[in-house]
Amino acid sequence: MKVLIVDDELDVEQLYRQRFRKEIKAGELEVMFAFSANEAMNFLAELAPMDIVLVLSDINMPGLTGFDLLKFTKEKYPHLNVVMVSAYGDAENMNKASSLGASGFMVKPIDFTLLKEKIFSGGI
Amino acid sequence: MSTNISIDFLIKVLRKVFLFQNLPDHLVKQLSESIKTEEFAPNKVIIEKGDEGNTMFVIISGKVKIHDGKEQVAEIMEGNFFGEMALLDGEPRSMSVTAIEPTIVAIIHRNDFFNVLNDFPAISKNIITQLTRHLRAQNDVLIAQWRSKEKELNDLVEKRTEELANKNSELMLVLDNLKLSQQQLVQQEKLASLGQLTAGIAHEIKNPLNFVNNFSELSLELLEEFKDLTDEAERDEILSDLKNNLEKINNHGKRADSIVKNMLNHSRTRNDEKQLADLNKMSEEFLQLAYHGMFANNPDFSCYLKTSFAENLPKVNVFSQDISRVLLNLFNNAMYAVNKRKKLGVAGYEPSVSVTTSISNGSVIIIVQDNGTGIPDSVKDKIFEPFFTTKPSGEGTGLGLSLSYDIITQSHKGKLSVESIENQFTKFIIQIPI
Ligand SMILES: Nc1ncnc2c1ncn2[C@@H]1O[C@H](COP(=O)(O)OP(=O)(O)OP(=O)(O)O)[C@@H](O)[C@H]1O
Repeated sequence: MKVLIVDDELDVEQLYRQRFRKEIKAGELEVMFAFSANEAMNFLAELAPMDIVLVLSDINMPGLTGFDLLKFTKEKYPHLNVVMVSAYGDAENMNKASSLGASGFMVKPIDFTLLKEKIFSGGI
Repeated sequence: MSTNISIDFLIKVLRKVFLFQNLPDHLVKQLSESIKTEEFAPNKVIIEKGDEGNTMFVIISGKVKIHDGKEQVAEIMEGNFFGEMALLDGEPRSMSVTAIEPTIVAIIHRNDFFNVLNDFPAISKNIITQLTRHLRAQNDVLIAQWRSKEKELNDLVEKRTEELANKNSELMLVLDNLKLSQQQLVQQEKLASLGQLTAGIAHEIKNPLNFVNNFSELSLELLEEFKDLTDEAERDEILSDLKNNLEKINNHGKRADSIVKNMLNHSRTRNDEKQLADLNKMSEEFLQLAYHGMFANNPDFSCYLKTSFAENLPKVNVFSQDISRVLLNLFNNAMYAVNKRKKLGVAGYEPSVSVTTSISNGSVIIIVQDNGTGIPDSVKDKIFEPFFTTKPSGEGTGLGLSLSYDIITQSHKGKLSVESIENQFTKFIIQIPI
C-alpha cells in the first residue's frame, strides 16, 4: 500500500517514517514524500500506472496550495483518495475540501492511531 | 508776504533780542534799516532742512516750531531768533522751521549781520552763549527722545517676549497632545499588525510544537522497544533514531522560542538598546509569519515565497523590534498587493513575494519584491506620507510605510526607497549601514 504525503515541512518525512516504522518494516506500507504541490503533481504523473492509494496533503503551502493539488488530483486521477491536513480546522476550509472532493479532513496535530486505523480499514 | 513795519518798531524788537543786547544804538539802527520782514501763515515752511542758508530770522510776532521731519525739537516765540547756525558755519540748514501761528519774522542777511559783527565784535560772546543754549536744548530734546524711544523699545520687547512665551507654552501643550495621540496611533498600529499576526504566530508556533510532541512521544516508544531488544544492530538503529529525534526536538523547541521572542519584541513598547541581529534569519521568519497571517485571514490566499540570502551577511546593530516591524509591514503590503492582483483573475498569474539580502558599500541591503498591483506614478510620492492608504476605509491606517520610513532613515541612518511599475512589480529597498 502506497501513501503520498505532501507537506512543506521537511521533518514530516522523519515523523511519518517513525510513526509507521513497524508497518513499513513489515512491508505493509510504503510512504513517499513531496514537499510542495508542484512536486506532488510531478510525482503523480511519473507514477503511472498508479499504485498509490492515498494522498495526504497539507493545505497551506507556499506556491500552489493543497487545494490546488486536490483539484488537480481529482480531475486527473478521480479514483485516488485525497485527505487534507490543516492547522486550521475552520468550517470554511473543511467545506471547501469536501466540495472539491476530498475523502477526509484532518486537523494538526494528527492523531496517528486514528490515521492508521483509517488507512488499514480502508475507512477513508 | 512782506509787511509794513516801522523802523522804530524794529529797533524796539531787536533791542529785546538777546543776541543784540549791548549793541550800540547806531548799529541797531543800521541793522534795522537793512532788515526785510515777512509774514507766514500757519504750517508755512520758513526754512527747509538742507537748504542753503545765508539769512537768519528774528520772530517779531507769532510762534514757530523747529523740527527734523516729523521730530519736533523746539517751539519758539516772538523775541527769539533762528537760522543763525547756517549763517555762521555756511553749512546747509540742519533743521526745518515752520510757522505754527500766523508769524511775522525779520530777515537779517549774512552780509548785514557780519557788518555789525565787524563793527562790534563784543556781541560774539552773545552769539556763543546763544549757540550753546541752542545746542544744549537740542541735545536735551534728543536725549529725551532717545530715552522715550528706548523705553518704548524695551516695553515692546517685553510685550513681544511675553507673547512669545505664551505662544510657546500653547505650542508645548499642542505638542504634548500630538505626541500623545501619535503614541496612541503607533500603539494602535502595533496592535493592529499584532492582531493580523496572531494567526500567523499561532500557526508558526503550532508547527514546531507538533514536532516536539511527536518526536518526544516517538522517543518514548523507541525507549520501550529498546529495553526488550537484544540484537546489537537493532539497538544501534534505535539509538541513532533517538539521537536524531532529540536533535529535532531541540531544533523545533528553539524555533518556537525564537518566534515567541520575536512576537514579544514586536509588541513591546520600548527597547532602547540596539542589538546585533541576523537580518537573514529575521527576514525569513517574518516572511513566514506574514504569509501565515495572510493565509489565516484569507484561506484562498497563496503565493510563492522566494528567498535569496547573502551567505556572509554580517550581523548588524539594530533596534530589532523596529526592524521586524518594517519587514512585516513590507511583507504584508507585498502579499496584499499580489492577492489583489490575483483577484483580478488574469490567467496564468503566479503571485510571488521575494526577499533578497546583500552587502554593498558598507551597507546591508534588503530587497522586498512582489509582482502585485504595483504603485502608479501618481501616488509614488505619497506612499511614505502618514495616513496615505489606498486600502478600503477601515482596513488600513496608512501608517505602515511612514513609520517604516522613520525607523530606517532616522533611528538607523539608512535609506528606504521604492521602485515600481504598475501591474508588474513593486520593489522596496532597505539600506542599513553596518
Ligand atoms: N507592495 C506594494 N504594492 C502596491 N502598493 C503598495 C505596496 N506597498 C505599499 N503600497 C501603497 O502604499 C500605501 C501606503 O502603505 P502603508 O503601508 O503606509 O499603509 P497601508 O498598507 O495602506 O495601511 P496599513 O499600514 O495600516 O496596513 C498603500 O495603501 C498602497 O497604496
